[in-house]
Amino acid sequence: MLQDLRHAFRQLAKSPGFTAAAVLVLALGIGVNTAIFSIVEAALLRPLPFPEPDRLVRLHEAFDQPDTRANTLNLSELTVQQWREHSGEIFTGFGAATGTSLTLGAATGTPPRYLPTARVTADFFTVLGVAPVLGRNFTAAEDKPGAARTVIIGHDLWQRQFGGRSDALGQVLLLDGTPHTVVGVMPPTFRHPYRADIWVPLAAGFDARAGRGHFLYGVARLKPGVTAAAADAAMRRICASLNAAAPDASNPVRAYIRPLREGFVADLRPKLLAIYGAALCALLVAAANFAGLLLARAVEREGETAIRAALGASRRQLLRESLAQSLLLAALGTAAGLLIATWFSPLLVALSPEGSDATGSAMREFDHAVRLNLPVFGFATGTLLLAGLGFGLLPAWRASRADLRSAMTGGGRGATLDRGTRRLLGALVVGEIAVALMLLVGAGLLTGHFRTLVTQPWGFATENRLNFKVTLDQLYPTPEARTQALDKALGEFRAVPGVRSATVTLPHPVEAARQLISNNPAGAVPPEPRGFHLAYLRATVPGYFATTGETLLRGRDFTTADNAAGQHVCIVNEAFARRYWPGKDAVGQLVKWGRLDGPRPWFTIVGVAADTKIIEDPNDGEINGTLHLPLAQVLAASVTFNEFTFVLETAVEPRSLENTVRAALARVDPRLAAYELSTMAEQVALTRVTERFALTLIGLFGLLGLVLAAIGLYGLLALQVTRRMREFGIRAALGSTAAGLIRLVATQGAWLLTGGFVFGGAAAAIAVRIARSQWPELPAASPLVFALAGLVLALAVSLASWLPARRAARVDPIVALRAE
Amino acid sequence: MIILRNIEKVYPLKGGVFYALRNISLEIKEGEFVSIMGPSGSGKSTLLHILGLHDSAWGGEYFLHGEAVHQLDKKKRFDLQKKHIGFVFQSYHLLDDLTVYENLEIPLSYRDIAKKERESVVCDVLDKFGIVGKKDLYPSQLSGGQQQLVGVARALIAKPSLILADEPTGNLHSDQGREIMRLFKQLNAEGTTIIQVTHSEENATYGSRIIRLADGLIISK
Repeated sequence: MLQDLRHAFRQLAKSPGFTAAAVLVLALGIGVNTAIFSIVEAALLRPLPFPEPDRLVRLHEAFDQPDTRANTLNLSELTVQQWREHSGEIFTGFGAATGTSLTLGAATGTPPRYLPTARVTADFFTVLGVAPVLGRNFTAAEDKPGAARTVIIGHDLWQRQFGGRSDALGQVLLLDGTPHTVVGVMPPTFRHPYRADIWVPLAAGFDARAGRGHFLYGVARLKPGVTAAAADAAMRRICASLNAAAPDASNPVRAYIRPLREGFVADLRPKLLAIYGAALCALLVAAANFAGLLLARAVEREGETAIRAALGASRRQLLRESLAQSLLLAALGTAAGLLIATWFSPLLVALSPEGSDATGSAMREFDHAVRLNLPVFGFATGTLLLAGLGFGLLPAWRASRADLRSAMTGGGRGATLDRGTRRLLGALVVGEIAVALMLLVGAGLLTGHFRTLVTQPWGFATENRLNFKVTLDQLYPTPEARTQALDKALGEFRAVPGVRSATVTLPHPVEAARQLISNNPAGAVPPEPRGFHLAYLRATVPGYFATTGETLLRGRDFTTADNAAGQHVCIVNEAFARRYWPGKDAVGQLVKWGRLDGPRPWFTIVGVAADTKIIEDPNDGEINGTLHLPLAQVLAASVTFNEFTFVLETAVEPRSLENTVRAALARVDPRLAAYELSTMAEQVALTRVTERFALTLIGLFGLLGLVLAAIGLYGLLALQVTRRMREFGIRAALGSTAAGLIRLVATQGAWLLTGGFVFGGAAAAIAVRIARSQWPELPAASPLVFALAGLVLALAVSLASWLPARRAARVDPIVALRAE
Repeated sequence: MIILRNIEKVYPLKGGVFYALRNISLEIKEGEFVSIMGPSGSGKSTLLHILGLHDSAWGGEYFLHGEAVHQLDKKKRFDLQKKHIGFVFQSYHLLDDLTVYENLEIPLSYRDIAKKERESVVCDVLDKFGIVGKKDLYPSQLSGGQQQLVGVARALIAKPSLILADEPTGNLHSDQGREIMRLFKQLNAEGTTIIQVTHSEENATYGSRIIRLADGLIISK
């Protein structure tokens, strides 16, 4: 074999053109695939960095249909307490957490810094199976209201704040102005949950009124041998028993149990797999091209192969020699592909504005950085073997069937390709064209989809708007304190020169789908057993519409009288009004927050707003419209809302006000930090990152497939023309015109194109159907998309056919027939 | 060594069958040096390919070293060919990418002979043919005569009992041609049976017998 490889190497070195073409084709195919695979590996395949991660599950409270977000809720404090108490037979541990943010350094004179924070139960890390790399975990005593404040810090913060020194333990950090003692440091890259920089005990400073609020993230570790089905059955029994002991319609009937990992990859999977599918298609085109090149090479060298056979080489030995060459080429292609992947992987990640959104949030919380690791190398090696052995086998088999008589007489040289070889090469080119068409249809489909998404108006102004978030947590523990702080901040911002108006809201206008509110419009029958409808929540203050540019169609905006002590009022959007009061004026109608038998108040509708664009979560289930509530009344009802978005309408370039706005916030409270500060236009551009990512990549693969298919066709026709030069010479000598010779070559190209269209069209229709079943937002492919993709392909193929056809047309009969 | 009985080679054509060879019966004894002659299209090369076991689609009986070739399957024919037959081509057909040494080595490697033994055999042959100084050269660096010398050496290296040569001097000028024929004569004298196809009466005189073909039939033997 070593000798075969040595000979193969020498042969390749003597044909640098062929070698370069084959290596380049494979390198492109393998390079982009390895790069995409490295992302798939990081986002979808790499296990969570915990011991026995398959036993970790995420828990939701579930009602009738567990598979939609509309029917599953985060856990309430009460549920956590009850489930922890009763689920000992199925779980070895049950942790809970919630996300918030705290400001660091506020009282030390340094500028306050916002830190993403997770409040966790004392056993949260134990359940996961992860321990601090320095110091210790929280104790049960620390996870109680009124306990001494402690904090576990992330590795990055440890490096930044303490230079990685071990005496960080015992040091005091001022978080929201309150001293917290550092008791531990988490491992590098660990930021779970909520991409936290610091962790504090859940119970510390907890407000008892939130007992029924569904804000807790629940994670549990299944006992060894307990299956998800068994856990589901056990949780049903536990829920039934709890409900029997204390009947309450709002009690969950079951737990929605999903593998922990699934929560990170579920939404991402279809999109990444669509991208990966496209990359595989590009690889297929590259591999077919590679096989075509090898086949052409085998045809060129069939004389030599026949001599080897005449010298005693068996079929097996000829196969081995030929495979040695394709394997060597595949190895070179893979090496070059890995180089491309090394360069392309970071580029792919960078294509996403936030660097990793498109590849899943898991990458931000764990060690899920994209890199060329063992599994990725394994993939590349597998591709190498597939390309080298799989696609090299056919040409090798063809080569091993050399005609000995031709070699003895030299009769094979200069003859036209035999029918079998022609068909084989033709089939490869048809395959390439078909796959390229499929890729182009995919790219066309996504382009249309993406255009629809980005051209749909938002319904609020995006120009001259500055926005940022501020978290009010431990510094402002009561609704009154928070409302006063927000009012004071609005006053300061409105006084900043260059600011026309200011408002505060939650959630951020472009993140409208983030907050759901359970409700019961008067007269509408609540879905049972859940007992409430769902809408998107928007909490606003007076003047919100004027500042954001959203349109109030009927009725009035909130006023200062709509405060915590005032009448409960709300504004609904058109979709909400249409759904519950079709053909009627919704103003004056009533909506109850929560279940009909729940403690929340009824709200009177005082206005109807125009609909705004909402980027829905496809797993949300049925969400009906948007419900605007006065922020003060929302805060009075639930203290769990602590992240607020300020929107400032500016008379100048918004970014130019950044420093003055930060200074204004410092005048309100120097301990507060503004974060995620950007213009509304920038925020809007950040949305649809995944779709844009998919579009860019599938477009790139479409282009790659197109170019490779065109090269493949060119290669085949050029080979045929070379082999038929004598025939063309005779035809020319007999009086054929140049146009006639061109027609001969072009007709062959046209047949191959037609074959590619037939198979590619059918394959694309099937691929689109499969993609839509996994990615429901995708539209159906219109005939226009197929037509455009076909046109682009036809143009490329025409160009690829034109060059060999022109060469055929320029045949000189004297030169071509000189051998005679 | 070779017995042919009623060998026929037929090509079916639209207008009827075409006989490339018809009723060929002959015997060639071990140690003979036979020249096959005849005009173009007489069936010389077709006969050589049948003798060399390149062609399996023919009728009649063919015995090689007592083995009934016409009754053997493809693999056994291939094994028989590897064991007994060496080829010399008109266009030399050396492998361009291999050195003289490697060209000589390759038939041995196809016969699964160990590397040490291959080295020893190749060195012997290089010495015998006086081309030791050329062993690291590529075919393109040799003259036509030198290339055919290597071609003959390669045909002999696996020690075949029969050499089949198709116009071995067809691409050489007369001096080089004579040198090759003298070499054949010497090899024949050492015991190798040689069958050559040639148009050259002069070359045929080096052999012990001439078989003449015309229109697929033996006209003298």
